[in-house]
Amino acid sequence: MQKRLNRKYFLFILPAILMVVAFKFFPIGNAFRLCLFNWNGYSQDMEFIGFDNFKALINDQYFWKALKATLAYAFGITIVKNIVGLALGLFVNKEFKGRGAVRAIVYLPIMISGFIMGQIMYYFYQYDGGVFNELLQLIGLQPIYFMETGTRTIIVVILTTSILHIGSTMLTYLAGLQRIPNELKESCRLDGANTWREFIYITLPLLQPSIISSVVLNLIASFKIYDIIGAMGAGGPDGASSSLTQLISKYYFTQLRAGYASAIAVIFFVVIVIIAWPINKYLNSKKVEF
Amino acid sequence: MKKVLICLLSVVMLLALVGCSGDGSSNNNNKKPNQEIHDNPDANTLAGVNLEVAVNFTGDAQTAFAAICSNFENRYGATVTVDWYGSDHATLMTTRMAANNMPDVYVTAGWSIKKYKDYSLDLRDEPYCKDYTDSALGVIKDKDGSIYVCMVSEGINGVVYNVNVCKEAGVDYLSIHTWDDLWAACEKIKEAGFTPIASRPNAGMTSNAVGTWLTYEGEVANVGDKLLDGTWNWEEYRYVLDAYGQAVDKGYFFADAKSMNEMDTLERLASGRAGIIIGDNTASVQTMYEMNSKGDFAIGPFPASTEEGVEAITVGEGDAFAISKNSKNIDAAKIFLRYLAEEEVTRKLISATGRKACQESVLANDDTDGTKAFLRLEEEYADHKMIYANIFDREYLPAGMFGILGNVAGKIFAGRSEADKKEAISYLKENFDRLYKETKQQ
Repeated sequence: MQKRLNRKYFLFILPAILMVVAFKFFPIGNAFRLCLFNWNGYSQDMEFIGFDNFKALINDQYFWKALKATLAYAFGITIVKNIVGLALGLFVNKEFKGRGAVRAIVYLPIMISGFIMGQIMYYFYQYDGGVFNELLQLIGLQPIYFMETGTRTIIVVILTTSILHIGSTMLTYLAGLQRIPNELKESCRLDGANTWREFIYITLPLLQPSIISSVVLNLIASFKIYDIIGAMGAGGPDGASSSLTQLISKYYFTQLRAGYASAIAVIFFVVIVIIAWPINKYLNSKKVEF
Repeated sequence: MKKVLICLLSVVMLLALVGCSGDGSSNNNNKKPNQEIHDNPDANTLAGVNLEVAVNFTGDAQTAFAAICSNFENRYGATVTVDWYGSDHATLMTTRMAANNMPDVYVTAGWSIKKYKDYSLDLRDEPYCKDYTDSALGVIKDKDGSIYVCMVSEGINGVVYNVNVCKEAGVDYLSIHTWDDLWAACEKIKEAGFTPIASRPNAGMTSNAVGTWLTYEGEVANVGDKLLDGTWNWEEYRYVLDAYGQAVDKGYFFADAKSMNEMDTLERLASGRAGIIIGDNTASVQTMYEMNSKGDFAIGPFPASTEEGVEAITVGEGDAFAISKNSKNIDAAKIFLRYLAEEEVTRKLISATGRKACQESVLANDDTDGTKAFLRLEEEYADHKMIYANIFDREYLPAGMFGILGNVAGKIFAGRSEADKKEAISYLKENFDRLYKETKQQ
């Protein structure tokens, strides 16, 4: 009976499994194959070159620049989104007038596509005639070239991406906060703890499930950042703010180096696994049951 | 009953999946014979035919092309399914080429020979091919005489001037013959309180212009043959790096040039904040008139690198359409292209794209902005030593180098020390050698 039931359920999930295999596992597997070839991305012929693509990566300055920028994006966005998202979650968890409106305003930007958001924010951060610089000049200050260097551009992109997606992080924490039983907080207060101690010893440990999912999901999503960078300086200057996803696309479709782009994709996959897996494991070990 | 339903549901889902995952190669194995079409088809001759057309048009050009396709459907009874790939056109077409699953008709976006020729039908016997201007044939005719596209317009690239700014700065742009003259004009424009150049670092700024240093007769270098046989060491590219580098150092570009986008470039010239764009085309002139209808914008050739050298306009593919060799609707696609080449239809499209017509019959009575800008150029520069040349990378470099030239343009703005120049030259050589070898192998 149980076996029949399992088979029935298996049939239900079979289409989903097939889709995941076709659209996730097959492309990933194909990238592992393509990275061993010299291929322009469209020709019906390709040349097997073993690990030459990986050897070439060692001396590719654009790869190292993009790897550094991608790590900065991943950790920068994850840190900003989680700290600000948690703060906002705590804020909108309190009872006050207009709470619904605040929640909606914080969540609204997520409805804009990354590219459009990037375009909008480009005109805010622009050196010549940008909104922020107009305001600075209005109060007698010198304009700032926000996108002059790679580091500055990376910071600008981190802030823009964080604003765009902060609503979802806030909701994750809000859901976690609402799951924490009030009795625990009350008993903590009865024991004489102040708000800070209550946050450190009660709220934060019991928020672990939300923290784990938010940190890991944000980290992985931030590694894949693509569209906002395209709209904000296109990875410049000289590739210093380009992400690995952008570099893969550029090598594959503009420079017609599909095999080489696949080698970067494979390295990228390994980097994400190496970073996300131990973080996930560490955070899981800190989980508190209640 | 439940079990039956579950099984049926699963089978339907599986069938749907299998149906969706059909690979492009099946098209080739199950080809239906081409439909017989008369030379002068009447209405509804193509009833039942569905043409898939992939294009990169956006904005006004998209609207115009949609109307053109709709008229075609009304006239011939066929249906036209347009894939509006926009800025993703090159990317999506690359994946379709890899899958050998090409649309019936597609825009080649400048690459009919270097990238698409193995997939495209030779159209040299089509009637519109006899009507092309020489400059158009110079761009789309392959070495063996094949022509893979119906091209309705050319991309005319050169230096774009805001004539009013030039006048105010006391610059006669028609007196510019060499790059030194251009830099002197920049100095005057700067002294008059404008930013001389509104360009941003991109492949167009270099790829369109470098022939005037490297490959035309009388220029500082003539390395065309070496480029074609793959023996050039790229040392002479230093002329390009030095010239643009000095212009950056002298403050001829906007302070934020390296992070500007295309619209910034056009807006700053159109609004009269700058005097010159190096490496732009007639389509941009049209856009600038839309931004500022009271402005006066002219396109001129790239200057020569020596007094003895020639000024050059580089010509590239404009709006060009190819037919897939494997199309099941080749005859209908040919009719579609003949329709696009009709004078009235061509004019509709180039009015929207701002490019210059490339068929003699259309040029004779054309008053679209792109053509007007070109005719002004021809008239104003009639006594100049000027040539029309193919875009540098399409003529001399393997496919894939356009992006590399763009990266090097970015490097000029990022650093201009001797070490930076050496690094840029080595980067160019390394990529050229690799792509040249790959192209030869293919």
